[in-house]
Amino acid sequence: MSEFKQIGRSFSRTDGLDKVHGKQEYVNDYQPTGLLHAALKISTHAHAKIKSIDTAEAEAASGVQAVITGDDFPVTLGLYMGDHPPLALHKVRHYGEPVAAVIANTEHQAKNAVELIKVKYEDLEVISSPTDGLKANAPLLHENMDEYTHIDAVHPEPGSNVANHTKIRKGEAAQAIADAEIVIEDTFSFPPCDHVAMETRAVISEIKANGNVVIHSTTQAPFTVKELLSFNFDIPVGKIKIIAPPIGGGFGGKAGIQLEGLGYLLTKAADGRPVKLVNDREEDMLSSPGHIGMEAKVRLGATADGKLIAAELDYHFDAGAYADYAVNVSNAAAISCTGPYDIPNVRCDSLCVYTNHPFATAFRGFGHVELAFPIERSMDLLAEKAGIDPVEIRMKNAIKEGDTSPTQSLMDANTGDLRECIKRAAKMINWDQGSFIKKDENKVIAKGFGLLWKSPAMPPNTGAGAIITFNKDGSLNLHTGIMEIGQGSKTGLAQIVAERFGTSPENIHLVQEVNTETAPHDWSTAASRSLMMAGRAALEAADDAIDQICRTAAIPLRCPPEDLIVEGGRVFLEDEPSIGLPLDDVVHGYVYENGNAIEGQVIGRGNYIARRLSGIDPETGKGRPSLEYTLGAQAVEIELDLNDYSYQIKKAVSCMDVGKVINPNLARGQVVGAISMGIGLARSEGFVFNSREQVVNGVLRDYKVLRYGEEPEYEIDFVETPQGDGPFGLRGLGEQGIIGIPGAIANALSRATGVKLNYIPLLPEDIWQSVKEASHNDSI
Amino acid sequence: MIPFNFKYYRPANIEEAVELYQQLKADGEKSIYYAGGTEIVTNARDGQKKYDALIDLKDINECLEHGEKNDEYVFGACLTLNEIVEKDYFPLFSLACRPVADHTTRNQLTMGGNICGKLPYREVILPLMLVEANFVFAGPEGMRTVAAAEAYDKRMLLNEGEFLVQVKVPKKFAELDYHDVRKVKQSEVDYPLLHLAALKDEADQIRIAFSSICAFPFRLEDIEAIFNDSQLEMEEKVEQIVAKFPIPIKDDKRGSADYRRLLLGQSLAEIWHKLGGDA
Amino acid sequence: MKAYENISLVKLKVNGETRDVAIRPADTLLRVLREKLGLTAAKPGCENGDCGACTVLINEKPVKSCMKLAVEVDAGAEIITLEGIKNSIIQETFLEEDGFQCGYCTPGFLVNAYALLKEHPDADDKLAKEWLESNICRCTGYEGIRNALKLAQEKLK
Ligand SMILES: Cc1cc2nc3c(=O)[nH]c(=O)nc-3n(C[C@H](O)[C@H](O)[C@H](O)COP(=O)(O)OP(=O)(O)OC[C@H]3O[C@@H](n4cnc5c(N)ncnc54)[C@H](O)[C@@H]3O)c2cc1C
Ligand code: FES
Ligand code: FES
Repeated sequence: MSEFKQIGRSFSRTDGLDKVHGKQEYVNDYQPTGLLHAALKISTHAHAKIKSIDTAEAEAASGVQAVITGDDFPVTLGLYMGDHPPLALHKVRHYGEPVAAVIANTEHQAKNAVELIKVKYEDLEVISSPTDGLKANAPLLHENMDEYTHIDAVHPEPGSNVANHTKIRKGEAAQAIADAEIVIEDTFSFPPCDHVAMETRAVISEIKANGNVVIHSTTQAPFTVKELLSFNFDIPVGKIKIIAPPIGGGFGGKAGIQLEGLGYLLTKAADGRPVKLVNDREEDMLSSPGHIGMEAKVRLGATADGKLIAAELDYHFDAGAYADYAVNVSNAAAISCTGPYDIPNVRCDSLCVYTNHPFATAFRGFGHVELAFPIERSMDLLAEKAGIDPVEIRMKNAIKEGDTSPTQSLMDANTGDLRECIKRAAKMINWDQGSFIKKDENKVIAKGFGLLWKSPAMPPNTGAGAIITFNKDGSLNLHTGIMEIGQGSKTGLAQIVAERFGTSPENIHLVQEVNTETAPHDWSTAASRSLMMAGRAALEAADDAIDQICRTAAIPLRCPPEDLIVEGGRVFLEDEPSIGLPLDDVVHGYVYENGNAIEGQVIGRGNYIARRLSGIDPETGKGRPSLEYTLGAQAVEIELDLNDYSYQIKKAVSCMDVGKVINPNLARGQVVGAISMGIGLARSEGFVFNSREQVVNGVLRDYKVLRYGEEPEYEIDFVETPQGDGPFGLRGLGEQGIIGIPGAIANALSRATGVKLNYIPLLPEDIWQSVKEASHNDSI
Repeated sequence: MIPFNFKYYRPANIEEAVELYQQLKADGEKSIYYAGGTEIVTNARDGQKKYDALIDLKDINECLEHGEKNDEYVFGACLTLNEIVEKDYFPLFSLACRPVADHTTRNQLTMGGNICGKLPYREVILPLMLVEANFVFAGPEGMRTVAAAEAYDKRMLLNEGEFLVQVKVPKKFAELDYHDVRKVKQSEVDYPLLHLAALKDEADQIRIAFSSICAFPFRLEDIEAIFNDSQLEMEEKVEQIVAKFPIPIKDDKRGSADYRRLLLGQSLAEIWHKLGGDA
Repeated sequence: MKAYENISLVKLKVNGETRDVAIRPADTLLRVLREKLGLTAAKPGCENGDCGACTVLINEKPVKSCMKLAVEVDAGAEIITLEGIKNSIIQETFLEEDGFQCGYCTPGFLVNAYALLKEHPDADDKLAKEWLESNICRCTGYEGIRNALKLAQEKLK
């Protein structure tokens, strides 16, 4: 029997009934009165000088209120680096970049007018990859990089296309590689792609008569938006209100600042009237940011029996045209560069390189899914070279308590049990029954493994808050700054508070929408940290409220407050439960029969701030940037057709050490959803560019995501090694399930074909080409 | 969201539709026949294709006919692909319809729209090319019934102002052995890399029609002669068949010509195997 | 002959009620439902026929309302949106089996699954795939949706 009543239970989602009845409202469902509509003119060129923009005809079109271009608001914004004009200024740097916006009475008038805008471009040389961008004679995407403001943790290299360079220097990597008995070296790559959250980004902005700016936005980070708007537009931060209803999928794509800056300019141009801007799907994929691309070079050195001694890692990220979150993705990938392996000597240079691709922002897995692909492929290559089973070599090198991370910080007593995860994943995928099985003449079954680790990439002073207020019936209202993005964190928070109150989560009312005017400050609903950090804050708020309840109740009950406990909607003497009061008699002050009242309402407050975190040293990477590490192992089984190289992913398994499972169904749902996205990355998702770096598959007809019936059978397990500082011992789990999957699939397909497949997405035709090339090379 | 405006008409019969088209033309208006709308509405969304008027054919009885008449099956042009699949008069036809787009879209997407559309795939025409189907057109000159060979060459040979009313298929073909192969890049819900439909006729000769491998669907007697030549090895057949293609194999973002060529060889072998060849 | 040459008044039969509404002939049903009738359950996900978030029932058949002109369903067709389906078994099982996370694809998925169960209560995996691959869900990996469908089939027996 569990010691808990609410933790570990699959309590139904608090937002469920609305969602299955079509009553959940998202930003685009709002239609305030007096609403104007905006539409964007986007660039058809990837890199070009803007010679002229002729807006005359558009301005004269029916229903048009205003047309704005970059020249009207020559500002550059940015999350970490101020490199990004909301509308292109003088030049465009990626296909799909917004160059002008029309504000009109109706959306169709706005869209109609957009077509009347004439833009003349003069093409510039394009940068098509990090390699391209790092060439000595490469054109500079941002000539004025040295003028951009940026946070200290980012290290741009003006005069080049490097927006950030993170260095990890642990031990003596070059020497250790030279001494190693086994060395493997290879290159790996994947193109940029998109989140494809089903809800596209949308914003409704308005300036009130008193100058207050009110923005409804599809955001994961309402407070970040508020603070950046204040910083960039010089608006007192208290005069900005962000209202963020639940969003239709985020996956990182709605973190940071998205359409809000442009939204502010639109309402400004429309005299403060409310203006709605909704991305259409193509704009959401091309004009707004997506998933980062990568070129990686990995060199691993090991002893003859497969113990890793050194890694030299060059991660070159394809940031696209603007830095946005990419500079921190490349940073996070450096911090965790080795994957969950104990490697004493590490050199990593992680470069975030500007290219003429749609730019990148946060994406589920944040740097870790990216680094895991080259690392997990490399581990299989190492296993092959050492003649050791891929699972065994992972077991041998798996990180554990007492080892150090690439940033030389100690893996402490809170380190999860990765070996147990590997063991369970291997069992679930029946690894011992063979990882390569010839089914018949034309079909092979193969399995692949991939480990994962993930720590939240966030500023060291990241915090969260929670407030508990009470209704007259004694039920609770829980206010946090956490966004409901589909992950069910609010349900988890309700369970945590319910556990403390000894009540059912039904008695915890959740404020679903976040309003920055009233919600406690929260950094961002990202980095899989919500339940851990807001959970801690909520627990503290619950304890604070319980203290107040006991204090109030102790007076009429004539007992010391510390003898009282709260449970089942009552406060009572722990050793004599019949003596007590219902909560509704206490939470708004106790009232005596004669009308005298004491103490007043209970307001529980709690907060949490990450403890003992630091930035990293710019030269060595030394530091303690990681709140916690979730560790895990994943594996897949695929079936490949040797004629046309089509394949199916039959089974995907995952075991992660999450400290404590608060809600088993929701936890499973997060992992399964993340796995399916990992499959998407491995199987089909990637932008395809033509020679002018225009995206040729920027519509859902051509950009293929996983559909019903293409998903594998999932088997999910959890290990629970408590995280000492996590509420009830929990760690983050929302993103992690994606991380090991691309590597696992590429490993399985490499095994199935006998050919090194070091890229994703793995389309049947590409596999066929690789097999052809390999056999051609063999025969020379 | 369609940004521009157009007029929408719903004629009740063939004559009204034809006259309306002529009238609009005389008034200088660009009009277009409208059926399922899956192509027209999605293309109109980005404002690239503009029309002044849509003439919806879905109230015209003849366009909705679905049944047997004498020794023919009649398929109205405005039948949705799902309706054709569900009645399943002619299994090879159903087989060709079923993988197009997705199930929900097929509740809208019409046979006529697919055949007369501007996209290169037009998969639904494949079986009709194999079975001596007759196409009924209506236009300013009245109605005409045209054999498949004359009705289609690279595209439906509709005159200005004409539309497809229905297609008639001799019943005897429904009895014959058939096979259908559709290959995709990765996801099944996608335009195909190639789609072949084949049927073994009464003389034991295999007929094959090709879609998506080139820029338009086609069927060629020369190709069938090679395919049915029992003296040739399969690889030789494929080689010679490709040489007879009216235009080079498509090379685009969905697949290279080389990969399509590989799939073609495998698909032809599969058809040969399934339909017993000369065995 | 019916003609709609300008802004036109149409009668839409939605969720059992007849609603008069003035529309442009170029307005899609999705936009009219959402913007003119306040029925926002059906969602735009692509407005290109690819994602199924906009799925509604027209005469009991699932249709992508982003590709349907509202004038096409004037005075006649029975339109059902998720708002018109209440407390059905599939809604219940979506809750029980976590058939959703962010909920954005859910109205389209539910409407399609509802129609599938009505037409083929014992649809096998193949048929369920054929129907439900018309919709994209980015959150669930489809496991919860599949389980919800299966459970609904059991409950319907
Ligand atoms: C999600 C999605 C997936 C798709 N997948 C596929 C696929 O896998 N394979 C494929 O082949 N296509 C596919 N298509 C494209 C689709 O085939 C075409 O859009 C469709 O066939 C058009 O049929 P419709 O009835 O909707 O035609 P409409 O959009 O109404 O019309 C299409 C064209 O045909 C003309 N037309 C229509 N009916 C007639 C008639 N009776 N006489 C003369 N002209 C007529 C119209 O004037 C117009 O030019 C897909 C479309 C969508 C939206
Ligand atoms: S919005 Fe209609 S299918 Fe995507
Ligand atoms: S629940 Fe989010 S897209 Fe399906």
